[in-house]
Amino acid sequence: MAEEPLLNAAARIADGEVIDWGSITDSLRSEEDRQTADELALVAQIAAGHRQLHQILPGDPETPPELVPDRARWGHLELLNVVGRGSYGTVYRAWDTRLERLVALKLFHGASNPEAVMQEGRMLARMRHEHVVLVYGADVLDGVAGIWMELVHGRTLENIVKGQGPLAPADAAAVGVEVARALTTVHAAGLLHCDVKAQNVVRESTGRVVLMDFGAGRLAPEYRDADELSDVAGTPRYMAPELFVSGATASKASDIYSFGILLYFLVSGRFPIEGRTLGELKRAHEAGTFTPLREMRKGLPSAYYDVVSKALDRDPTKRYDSAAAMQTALAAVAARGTTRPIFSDRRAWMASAVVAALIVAALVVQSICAPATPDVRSIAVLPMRNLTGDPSKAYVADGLTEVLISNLARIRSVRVPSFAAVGPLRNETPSPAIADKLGVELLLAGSISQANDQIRLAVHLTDRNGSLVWGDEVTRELAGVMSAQNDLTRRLAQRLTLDVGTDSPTLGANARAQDAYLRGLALRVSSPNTQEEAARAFREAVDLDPGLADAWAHLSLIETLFAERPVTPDRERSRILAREMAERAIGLDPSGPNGHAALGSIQFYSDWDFAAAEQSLRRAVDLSPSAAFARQRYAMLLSALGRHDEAIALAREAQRIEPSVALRSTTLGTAYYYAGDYSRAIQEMRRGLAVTPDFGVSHFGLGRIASAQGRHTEAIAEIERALAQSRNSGWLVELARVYAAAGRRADVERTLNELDVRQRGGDTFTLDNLAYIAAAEGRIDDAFILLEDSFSRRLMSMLWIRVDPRVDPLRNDPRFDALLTRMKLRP
Amino acid sequence: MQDTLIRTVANLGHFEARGEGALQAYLRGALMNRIRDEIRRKRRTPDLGALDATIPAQGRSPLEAAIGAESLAKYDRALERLDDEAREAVIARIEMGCSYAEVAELMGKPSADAARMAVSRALVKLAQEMRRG
Repeated sequence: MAEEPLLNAAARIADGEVIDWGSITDSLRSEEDRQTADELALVAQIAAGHRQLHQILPGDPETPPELVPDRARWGHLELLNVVGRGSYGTVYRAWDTRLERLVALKLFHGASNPEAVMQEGRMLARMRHEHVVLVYGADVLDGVAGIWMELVHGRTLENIVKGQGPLAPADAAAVGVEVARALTTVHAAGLLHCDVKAQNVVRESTGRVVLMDFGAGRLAPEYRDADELSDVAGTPRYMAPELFVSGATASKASDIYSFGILLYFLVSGRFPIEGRTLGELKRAHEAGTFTPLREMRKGLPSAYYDVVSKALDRDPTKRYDSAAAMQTALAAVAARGTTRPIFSDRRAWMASAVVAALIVAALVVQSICAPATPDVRSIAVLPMRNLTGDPSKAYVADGLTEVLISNLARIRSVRVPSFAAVGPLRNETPSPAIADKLGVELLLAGSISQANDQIRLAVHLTDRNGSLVWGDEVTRELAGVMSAQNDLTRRLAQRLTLDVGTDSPTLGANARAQDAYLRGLALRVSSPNTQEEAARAFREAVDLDPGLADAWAHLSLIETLFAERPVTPDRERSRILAREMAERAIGLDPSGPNGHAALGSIQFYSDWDFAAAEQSLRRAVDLSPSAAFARQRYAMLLSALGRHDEAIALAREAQRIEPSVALRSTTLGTAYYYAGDYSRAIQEMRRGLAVTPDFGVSHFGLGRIASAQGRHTEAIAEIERALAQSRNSGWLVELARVYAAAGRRADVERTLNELDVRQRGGDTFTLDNLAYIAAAEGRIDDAFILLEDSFSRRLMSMLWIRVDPRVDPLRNDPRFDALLTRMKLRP
Repeated sequence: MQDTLIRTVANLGHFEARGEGALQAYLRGALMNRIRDEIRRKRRTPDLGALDATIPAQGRSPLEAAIGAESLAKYDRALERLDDEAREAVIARIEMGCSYAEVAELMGKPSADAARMAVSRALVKLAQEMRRG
């Protein structure tokens, strides 16, 4: 009788799952069983090998693939998430801790034959070509063999065609030229690719086309075909007819045929030979039921038809004799076609899975080009109510609310307060008081409820008096709530006679990814303390669907937050990750405001590249005129640069959009403070207190202003009030500085001691604050030493020193000017 | 081993569908034939285990390249020693990539779950045989 762990392991082999052999061997009692486990490990490899050869998905289609790395580290590479799962192993996105860069790591699980892996590494390394994925290294560590290579960001051609429809012939030919060049290189190295298909060609956001083969018979779901055949096999539709005959072997000609199928697919989204099973495909080949491209898609240039039909000739000897010959033919087609960007902003926007799933797509795109309408409407979206009776669905309601807000916010002619404004009004019903508080003309309220297995989404729009303007409802399965939202918003936009385009966004996003994304959004807007949880949810979402641009943008924004904390385990790593994620978001969706806001934040806080930051933040504001967040950050950038009037104007507009959010007023107050206009600064800080009594940020701001005016006692009292609201070490260190300015040396000591105790518990503040204390005490040399040190660490909190009154005692020293010059902050 | 896939298709031969029942019966027969072909083929294949496992990769199948001819030979020998049902279960699921529903259909098991169990048990038996060499 076999031991339970052995049977379980065997079942996992049969399911095609990854197995932790170490723990299985540990759990076995007899030496015999341990030896059997070793043999099972070998069987697992053989099974994986067969799956690889069959290109057949292991397990039942509904078996979810593992989405988190099953190990955290491999040598000097830190595993971040699973990109694809091949039969021989798994492909991860990983962080190279030595060279500090992101890489793709293919790990061959189990006790693989290391020499075979090294051989694959050497083989791949022979192909150094712009359009072939670049191998960095190969090694065997802890008994696991792996190859790491360049991480290619982008979307597979499959994903692009499924998402946004077939390409124009000139575009397809242009992509084809690059694939042909890659294939020429592969053949020149004496190799065959054997798996040329749309899933294996990735187009990066920069436009670079990369041919890859992760040897992944089983890729993450986002790369999988949605149709039936994929559950059996993905590749056979690309297989040349001669390969369906017994004893056939692959050749250059069969690679050329696959390439021809790829070209066919790019312009039609279809295949010349269809079949749900291998048998059907074989019979279709035999019967010659081949749909020529000419019939499948009419009106293409005849040269394109010619290239495809020559590549797809049944007789291998009549096909192109080399990929290079095909390149020449394709280049001619590409040159004759109308040249336009292959993936224009608009199309890329429509194609991105998340954006497609979002609302009023066409409308937003149009608003980018359209001039601002004088008749700006204001609508507040009240938090959707969760009437499902299931409290665990609350995130769906909150997530959808945020989706609705952020999409309406992208319409130029509409002003929409953010979740921060409406969040406190949960469970409120539309009323004139609510409309006044939010400063809007119209209120949109809605709910989700359960209707059998489905979710009903109902919304109604009222004017400020509570009279119904419009109402609608849609019932969908939970997986379809995003599209339901989409429908509703389009109808709403129509009701408001906003110009809605005719394009219907496609729903490329996978349902579980959408669900994780909604959960992430709900956590993101819920509290500053749920950001790590939000990051986990967004991470899950992008693992399931790497096309979710907005999820990448939020991940980047959260990572930036972590990168710029006073104490962070690896600041540079977080900064690089955040930048990579922001660039990815923008690459996927150039018109998504959050990606630009995230990139702008990194350029401002981490890179200190103020011109680039301004460009990114301005773009974010242009794309989403209602987005208070980007506006606020942009205002603070302008303050740091001493461009006070512009900063004040931006912050004032953010306040106008969201009068009910205290932080908007304190940001405006801070802009006045840096401009030296203390009376207006006080006025705005007090406005923040009127909105949110005892608002800590307001008290802190009032304390700094009082200190700048030499009103020390009041300054101390205000900062103590702020500290009563939050145990913020950044505020406590400012209290020490205010004491220093007041000449209360003993209190400075006492406060610094308290900070010291806190610091040992991990709660700390940034070093530049000590420079401000030294400045207040007249220890000028010390202040400069501390500022130098802060500068070497690029602490974001010192970015405002050009305008910060706390460094006034240092301004006449030439060292200060020199520092500003090095920070590129000199006027 | 790429041949397996190609032969799978080639062996399906001509078939005229006469309703769903007939198709199912045909597919079951075809699958069974594929499996038995595979078994016959294995018997014809010379035992590579006896050769030096470090021979150049030339002429080796991708599976051998990845796993090693010696290991593959050990696997084949053990498979040969299994009873018919266990051998067919392994070949159908592991080598042919049949779904559990297909395996159940082939082996006359009442459900996909039962087929999964049968495959798992067969794999353990196989490993035990491999341990013996």
